[in-house]
Amino acid sequence: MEAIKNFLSTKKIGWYISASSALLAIITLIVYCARGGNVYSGISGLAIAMLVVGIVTNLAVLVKDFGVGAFVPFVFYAVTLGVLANTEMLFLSNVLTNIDGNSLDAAWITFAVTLVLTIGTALAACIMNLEKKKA
Amino acid sequence: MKITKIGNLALWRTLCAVFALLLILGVAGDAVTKEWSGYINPMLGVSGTRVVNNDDEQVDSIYYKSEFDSYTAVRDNAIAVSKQTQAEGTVLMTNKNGALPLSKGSKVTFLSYSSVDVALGGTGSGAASKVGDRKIDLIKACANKLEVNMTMYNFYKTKLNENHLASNGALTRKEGRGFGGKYVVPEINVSDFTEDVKGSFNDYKDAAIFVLTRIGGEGADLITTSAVTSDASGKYLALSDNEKSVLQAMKDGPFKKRIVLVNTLNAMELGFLDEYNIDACLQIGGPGEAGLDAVADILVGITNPSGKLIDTYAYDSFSSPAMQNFGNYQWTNKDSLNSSTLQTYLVYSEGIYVGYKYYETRYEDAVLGRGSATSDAGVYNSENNWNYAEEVQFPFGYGLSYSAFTQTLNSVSVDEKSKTATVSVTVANAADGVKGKDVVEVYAQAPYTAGGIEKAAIQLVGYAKTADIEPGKSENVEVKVSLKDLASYDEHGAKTYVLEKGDYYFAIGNGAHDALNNVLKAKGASGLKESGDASKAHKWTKNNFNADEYMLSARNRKVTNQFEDADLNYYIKDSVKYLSRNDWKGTWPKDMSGLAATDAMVKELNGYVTDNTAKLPSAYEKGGSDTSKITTGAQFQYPLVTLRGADYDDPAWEQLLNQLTVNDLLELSRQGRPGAPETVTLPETTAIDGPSAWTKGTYLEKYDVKDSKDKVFTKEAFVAYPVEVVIAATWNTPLAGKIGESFGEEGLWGAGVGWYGPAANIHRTPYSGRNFEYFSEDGYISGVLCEAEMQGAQRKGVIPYVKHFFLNDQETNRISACTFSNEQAIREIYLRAFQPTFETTGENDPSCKGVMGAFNRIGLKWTGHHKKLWKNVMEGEWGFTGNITTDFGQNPTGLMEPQLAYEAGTTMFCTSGKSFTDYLKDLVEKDEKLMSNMRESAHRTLYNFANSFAMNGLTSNSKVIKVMTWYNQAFLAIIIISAVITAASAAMVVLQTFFKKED
Repeated sequence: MEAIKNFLSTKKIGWYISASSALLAIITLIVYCARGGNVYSGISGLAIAMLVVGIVTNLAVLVKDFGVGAFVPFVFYAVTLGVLANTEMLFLSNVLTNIDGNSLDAAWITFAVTLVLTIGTALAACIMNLEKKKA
Repeated sequence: MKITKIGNLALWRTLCAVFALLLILGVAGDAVTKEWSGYINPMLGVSGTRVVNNDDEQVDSIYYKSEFDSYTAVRDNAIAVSKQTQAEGTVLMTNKNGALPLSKGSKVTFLSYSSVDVALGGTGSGAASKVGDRKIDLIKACANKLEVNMTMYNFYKTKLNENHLASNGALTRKEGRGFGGKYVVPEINVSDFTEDVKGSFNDYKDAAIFVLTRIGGEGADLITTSAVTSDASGKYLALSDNEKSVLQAMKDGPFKKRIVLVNTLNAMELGFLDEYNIDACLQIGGPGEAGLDAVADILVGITNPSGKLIDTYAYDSFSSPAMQNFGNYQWTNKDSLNSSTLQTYLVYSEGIYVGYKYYETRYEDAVLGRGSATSDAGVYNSENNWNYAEEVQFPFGYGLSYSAFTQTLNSVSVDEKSKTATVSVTVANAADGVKGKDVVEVYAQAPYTAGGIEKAAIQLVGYAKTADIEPGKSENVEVKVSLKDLASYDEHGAKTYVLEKGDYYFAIGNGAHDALNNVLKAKGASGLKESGDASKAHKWTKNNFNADEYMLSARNRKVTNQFEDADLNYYIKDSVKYLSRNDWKGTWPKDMSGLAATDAMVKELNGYVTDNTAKLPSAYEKGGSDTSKITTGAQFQYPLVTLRGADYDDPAWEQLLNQLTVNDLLELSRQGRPGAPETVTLPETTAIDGPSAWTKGTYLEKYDVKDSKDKVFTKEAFVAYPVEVVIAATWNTPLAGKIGESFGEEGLWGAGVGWYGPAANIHRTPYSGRNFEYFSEDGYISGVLCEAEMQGAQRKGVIPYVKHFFLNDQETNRISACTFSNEQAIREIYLRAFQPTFETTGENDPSCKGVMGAFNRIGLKWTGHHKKLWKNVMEGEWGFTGNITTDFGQNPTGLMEPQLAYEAGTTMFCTSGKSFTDYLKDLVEKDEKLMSNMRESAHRTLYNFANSFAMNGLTSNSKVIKVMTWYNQAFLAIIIISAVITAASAAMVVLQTFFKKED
């Protein structure tokens, strides 16, 4: 417990934001995979890969602050958004034009919102310092 | 190294992160818009190609010319055609004591919420275009014709703005989207009326007019709304409690006349007309942006209504045999199927007894006392056993007029050699009436033998609409009937069309029921209790029978069974007992839920989806891997325009196809954006949703510069026409042709080369969400009108993609449901609705240049994979050489598997993007058969584009160049700028970090 206290005592608000970014990314990953694609496109392996790499680097940055390292997960999360924008485009246009009777289900909305929040928090984290300056 | 601190580290980090995000979004946006440019470009009115012509060239390269010199004139013409369509497609269903027409200047009160927002049409891709203020509402329509109670009108308007305004500014009639969405009936209970409103009735009591509205739309059947409308009786096509309260107030009010405008797209339950003492009722369908003007004209007698019903109006909308199997059916062993696209099914166990062919046939059998017709099977509204008068309120083909027309059947001459009959009729208008048009409806009855081929007691085989007939005048009408339309499809015996020996009857009448009564009278049926007129029926006896007599198609190809595996009995013996008039009770359709696919079916179904390891569906036999023997990328020799008018088999096509690269083959697979600019000089083209409007885009200021840099788009949306149920109700084939021409003109003026319309599926039940996009429950009239509309559009160089071919008659599970029917019903109803459109009978009757295959499966095969459909029926029997596109979107591994699709004849994939062509590229480079099939598909595509207005503006010296659209330029700018700033700020972050360490 003392070790955890000591560990956290060195962290600034940026660290907590980065931690929430990792948590949101994990939720995104779980929900996206559990949803299992749609009638137009399956699960995107590339999106999952980008998300996983983002989470791993995010966790690494949380354990050991690499200075500008917080930038790395942010990039991977943003690339994930770009990939998903493409793979989900047909489904989304379908829903928006009410063509095929699909609707934005709770899982879709969840992973879309959590991904955007992931990117937002990751962006904030890489602007801010994660740790207090050492004396 | 010591570096002086430059700026603030946090600032550089922020800049770096923000612009990195912009960079990524820019790259993603660029990729996404390139992927979906075929969809985006038409909406934005831009193109990825441009035609460059030699200015010195003095060649007229406008091959399809407009009749108009401005888009305003095109639009005015379209609106005039729309009004005429509505005027002739509005059906007067009842008119007690001449309640209509009203006197001009009558003071009227419009009741019902919908009076402030009459539904123009349905929802989904076939919805009306965004016409904004151009829409003619009831107030505009009634100006100078009727004095409208504005207290009532404004009350509704205020309530609408306060409570029920949908995001598009309309009255909320559907909550949510898609299958999860539910249709609602927005109506205000009369108890909420203010005293002011109630008091206003006395000042506007010449007539109360109730607007009864129901909509339908893509992606959701109406049946899904059962029990979800909080105040409805449980059926969307029945009155809601609030509507009843308003109708009761109308009945109890001071009004001299009570009128109902039926603004519905599906056959509504109208049994309430008597209950609420309704004097007159007009079926107006979906009038589009201008149709209400014509409705108001009818209300005051400026126009005489001449429409006839195109569906049967039953007292109970659940009462047809088709309704017994409608909705969601899933294989009980669906988990053994490899894709969600394999798991649902639907069985058309009613066979040929769809719509009036059921009600009228059962009626005849009831009159003749046979086939257990008066049993309790299928009783929905009859007090005891089945009774036509208690089940059917308004028959198919029925409609009234302000004139008193009489029709006299002069003669019927049958020529067996030419397989035609000529029916001569005189239509006379009473001297004391008003001028108007009438419809001569010709029906026929074929001899039925118990246990033999199923035959409807009456079927429409011809019709014609008169010109305006002045009072006291008459018009002679001749209707040509093809005996092929009397022939029955004998799927078990001769396995082709046959015209059996026996007594045939031709009859005229105001609707199918009237005609049948005339036949029964002529037959001397003793059980006939209703009136009939034997002089309006004609008996013709066929004394001989030759099983081969009707086996050939118009182009002399043998017609035989092609859809035996669409019958569930093919896979599971005796699983379906099709409805038979030999035993109505014993064959009344049972609910087909709870079926399990057999092992053989599971194996076959799984064979149609791609095994991800092999990248092949097992049903596909891959070709050799050496693709080098197929010539690609040969030296440029022919621009496409030089093959305009060339035969499909002209050897020059081979050379032109040799010019195509593999990339061109891939690009040409993309419906909505097929282009091969450099290699064959084909500019980018578009295909846009219909069938009631060109739903996207705006007019060009000049139509003859469509591919040049000088083109200018206006802000005017294309016209929203009356929906197809209104077009059908006109029973006016030349008018349908004029509508098609008007669509064609709009195509020329910027709408697009490809038009996803018209549509000709069948109103199998009243509950399909998309019935408004289709003509009728009857295959014959659907086929005739669809062809006329198609030919009209095609005359202007448009490629109509007639849809949704076929057996796609409900929205629930429409994507991939295994749809089972028997070959007789398929031939006589569902294919007949499309056959005239696709079948060429000679030079003057060209086949349609396009078709959209439906989402569903015919039996177990998805339509796009159905080789027998495309090769044997469409190409073989009918001579079709048009483009075959899929419906929206792709699922290349789970439904629209491209290898099988190309092999079967599919030529393009609707709205496909780069990810699809990337997927296809991997396959085609290793499969000689696939490449060969894609080359033949490209042949089709190019042949049809060469003969469309896509060639307008092109000469043999024209060049087509690729250009960047403005949004691609914008993305490029974002990418460059954000990359530079990201890189610079990243460098500063690194330097700052380094500086800190040094410090």
